[in-house]
Amino acid sequence: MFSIRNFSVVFLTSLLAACGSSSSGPRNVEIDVSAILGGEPFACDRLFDGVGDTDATVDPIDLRLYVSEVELVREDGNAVPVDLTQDGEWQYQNVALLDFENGTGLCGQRGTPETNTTIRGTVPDGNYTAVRFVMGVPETLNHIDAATAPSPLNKTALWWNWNMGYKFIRFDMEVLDGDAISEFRVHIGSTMCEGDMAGEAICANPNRTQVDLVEWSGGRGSILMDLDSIFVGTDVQTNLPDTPPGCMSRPDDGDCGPIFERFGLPFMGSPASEQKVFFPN
Amino acid sequence: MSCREFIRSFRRARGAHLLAGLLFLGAVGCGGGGSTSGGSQPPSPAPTEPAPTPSGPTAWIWDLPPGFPVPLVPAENPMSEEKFQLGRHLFYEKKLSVTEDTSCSTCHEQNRAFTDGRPRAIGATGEVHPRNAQGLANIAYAPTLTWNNPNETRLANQLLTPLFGEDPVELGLSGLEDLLFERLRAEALYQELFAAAFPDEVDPFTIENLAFAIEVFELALISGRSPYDRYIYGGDEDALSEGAKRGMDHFFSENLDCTHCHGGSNFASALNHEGNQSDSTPFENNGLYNIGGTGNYPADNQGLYEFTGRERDKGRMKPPSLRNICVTDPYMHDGSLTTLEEVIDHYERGGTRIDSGPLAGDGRDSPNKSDFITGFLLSRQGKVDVVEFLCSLTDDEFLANPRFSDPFASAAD
Repeated sequence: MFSIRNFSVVFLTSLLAACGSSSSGPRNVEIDVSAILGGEPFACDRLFDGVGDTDATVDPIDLRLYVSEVELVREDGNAVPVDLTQDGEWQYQNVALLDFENGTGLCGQRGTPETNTTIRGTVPDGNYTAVRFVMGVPETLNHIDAATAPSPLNKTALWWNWNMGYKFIRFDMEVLDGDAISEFRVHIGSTMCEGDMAGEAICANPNRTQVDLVEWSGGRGSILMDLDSIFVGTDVQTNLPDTPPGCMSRPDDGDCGPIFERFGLPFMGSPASEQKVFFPN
Repeated sequence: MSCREFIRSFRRARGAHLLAGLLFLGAVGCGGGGSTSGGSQPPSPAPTEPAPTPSGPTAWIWDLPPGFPVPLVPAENPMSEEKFQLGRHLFYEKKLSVTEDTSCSTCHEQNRAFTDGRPRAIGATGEVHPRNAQGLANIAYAPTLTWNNPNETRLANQLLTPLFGEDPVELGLSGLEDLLFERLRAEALYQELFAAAFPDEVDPFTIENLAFAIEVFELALISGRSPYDRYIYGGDEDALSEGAKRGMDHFFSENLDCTHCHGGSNFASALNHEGNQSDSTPFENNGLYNIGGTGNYPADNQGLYEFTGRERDKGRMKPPSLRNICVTDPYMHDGSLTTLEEVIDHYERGGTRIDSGPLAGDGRDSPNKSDFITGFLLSRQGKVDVVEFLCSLTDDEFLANPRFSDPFASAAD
């Protein structure tokens, strides 16, 4: 979780980013992500109001997502990859798992007590003013053999074997509607993939969200994931008949239309656009 | 000679040179593509006799029926008796479900040739699967495994879907892998079985090992001792009734054209074995639905189209093996045809017509229907005979073989 050593590094990094002072060699960088729902910090084991177009009340079940190809952008526009710390748990090669659920309340269904909301790595020294990343598992890792995959690609709750890959985001919640309870899930991953399992594949719908945050100043809590923004145009209390609850990326599920649009993803003929979920904080 | 002529000639050959015959089938494309594909694991060398091992797992002995080729085994998961026994226990193990009351065998019952008698399978938490549980007899020979997914070619991979999938929930273990292994580790039986199956590993309790063990069990489910087999490979003229023999002639005739999709020794579309790895992924639309004349199948069951997005792939499903078909009712990918007679009526007509309701339409006129489904004329007696022939594909020995049975059931003997 939180350690003094990391705090001082973050503090120093923020100072460096802000002041633009230089030192030699690569330096550590920590990019924190915070999430809000119903206008409040995301947490398990509590209710949130005001979600979606009908201001519904919800109880979170899960919130985990993969981010990859993290880059910092210099003032001159050059992007530099962040070399992710290989910690054997949350980060592997250029992909990191962010885990907001802590296994309490409904998150106990298939969650874990551990959380991770910070991307950690190194970059060459320099003055960076923007951050870029992709929400998704990179193509080179998305079709590996899940059963032998190293952490964080070994979480069965994020597997999507029948679609030959991973869920890039898993955001599930229980929705209360008077006495009725339903579930609304947001699972996004590559669909229409042809190839063979644990090998090469071509996916007609990669469904990876590109995030470009200019005016990013680094430091703690520097990226905001606005979960409410996902549901602009969505009534989480309803679901089209004969479709999975919520949006699970099925190419013909109308429930995915507005949600994909918020993530900037093309869907059902609508073209890709700019994502509207992640913001600099 | 044509495919059909060849099949008729080897019927009369009564077992002579059938292995070569099967290889020939592969080469002319009766059983599928003749080229090897680079997409799967290379086959392991054919064991001519059990290889002696100084220590560790017992070498596997295939007890293949006459005329059956050696299945392709993934190189990374060689067969062993210990893996087989572990896989067998796991297959029948109810702890492999979130509710602890459902196992693989719940939807794959041995005495139904590993189907479940339901139109559509039902998961541990009561969710209904869009599709019918498929039989597992001779699954070792199938180039693709499920009704509509062209990517499912490996048993050890496919089983992760019923274990961890959520749309629908089948065994329901998504996110619960730690709990699963806690349950298994607590059993002395599994401490023993896992260690015996994977003796070189300090901690053998991994998802990969679990998958490999069940894969070995599934690969071993070979069925080839039906009355039909005794007639063809055993030279027993009396193994088939006169009606079944007439039905067999109808089945193999150009009039019915069954063998285009249900051909070869496994009565299926393609065959993998050590001499041939098919690169064909056969999925066919047999005219079961044609909603409003659009060529659509029901929305949650459009077949191969769900993976390719190609309009012409709507309704394309894998033609399963017809072995043991008499006990694997109901039929079709959604179990919507209840009896073999209904199935024959469907093919005789050239497609099913639904007169009213949201699925109304005439499958016979579907733009996506396979060219092989043209309908045929068959007398009432002919239909009876064809059903009798199909039931001669029932391998009672396989359905009752103690080796494949539930090790947890109370012993009857």
